Amino acid sequence: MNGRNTYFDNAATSFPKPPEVAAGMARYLNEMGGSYGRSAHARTVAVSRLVEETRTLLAARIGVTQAAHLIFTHNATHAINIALKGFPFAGGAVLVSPLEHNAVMRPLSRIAAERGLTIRTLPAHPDGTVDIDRIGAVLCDRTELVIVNHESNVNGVIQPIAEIKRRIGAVPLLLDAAQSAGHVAIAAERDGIDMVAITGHKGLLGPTGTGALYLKDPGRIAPLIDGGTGSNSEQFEMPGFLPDKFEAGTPNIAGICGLREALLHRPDPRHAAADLFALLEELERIPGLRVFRAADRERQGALFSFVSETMDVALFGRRLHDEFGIETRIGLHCAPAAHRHIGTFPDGTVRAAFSPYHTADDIAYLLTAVRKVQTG
Amino acid sequence: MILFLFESTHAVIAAEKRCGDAGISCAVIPVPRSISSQCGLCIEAAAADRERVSALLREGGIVFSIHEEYVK
Repeated sequence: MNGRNTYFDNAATSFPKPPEVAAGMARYLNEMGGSYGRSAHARTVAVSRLVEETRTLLAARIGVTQAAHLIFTHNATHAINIALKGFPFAGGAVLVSPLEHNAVMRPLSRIAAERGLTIRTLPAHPDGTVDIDRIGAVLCDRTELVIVNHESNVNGVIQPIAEIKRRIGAVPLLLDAAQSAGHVAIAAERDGIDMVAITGHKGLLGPTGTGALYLKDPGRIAPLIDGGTGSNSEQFEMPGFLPDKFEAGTPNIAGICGLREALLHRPDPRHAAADLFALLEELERIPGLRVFRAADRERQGALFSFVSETMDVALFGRRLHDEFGIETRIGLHCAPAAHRHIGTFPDGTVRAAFSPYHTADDIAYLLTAVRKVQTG
Repeated sequence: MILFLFESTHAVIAAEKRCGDAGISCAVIPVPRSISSQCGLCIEAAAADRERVSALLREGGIVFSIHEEYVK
């Protein structure tokens, strides 16, 4: 990217992408062609190799060695829907963090209504970080699943996922890593995480329409959709083996080719973590501005929110855009539960989300713009 | 030649990579319709490499079966 990077909406979708992403997609569409696992000619075998190489790369990125346990999806929402709608709930309780996105809360609420589940919120600190010392108070014999948003898409809080898993023991854990994948290290096998939902187009810098679900124990999850897989074609039942059990229909091959390039060509960050912390400190000194972030620096992801005591968030976001060219996202960010917890429901916040491509100068420009809009 | 049969495309590609990394010559080919298979692809290798390939696949946790009577 030439010039200043004023795009701070990377939690919605990242931009720019490594240039190899578009090149890889164009190469598939214009030069390679071919399907995945549906034929045996050289073109399709070559494509199948690329898809499987991407699966292995992506699995490694989240600490998974059994790549077949990683199912390609369209995005994290799709992955979460597979995990929740295929889970063998038996009318017990589900515990969720207070910072869940509607990608979890909407399907979970529907399932709770249909199957008589109880949804309870994990005890947490004011910034939404789960209070691991009080988890025991809400765990019970009826607890069937725990769901945790790894990195909040509202204030950037990164949850202590390994500690949470240790506290809940054998109760399955679904990790929504939509925001964290690419930004935060994930060690799914080491930490015993049962299910991980990720998307390709945010922190991983890949194209939209790509994502994945890791299933440690896929036997207990039913497929969300049924259809052709290129395998067991003589049967009307879906195959029971991986990854075919969950991958009916031709996958987003062009997107997967782009995601492969994103995984292979991730840029080194052009700013330091200290630049983000310095920005947060400076913003908190601006009169009338309230910043929403992790209380503990070690738990701060690459995004945060703020509100003005004197200006509507929509107007603030509009002025950042119109006067400074800065692109943010205002409102509830599809996470009303999180906004209720931090006290910003229903107005929401202005959110700024970073990319490895932002420089210290870009971050300084954001500070200048916010300061000028707030103080006139 | 012998054929190594697998459940899924994922397994075929993983097997091909393990053979390639070990310097064993093999080819991904369509499964002959006379052979019952879970997947449309299989791996053709020299009969002399039967044990080496089998060991590599077992080492990688790849589920497979062998069709030994294949004549190219």
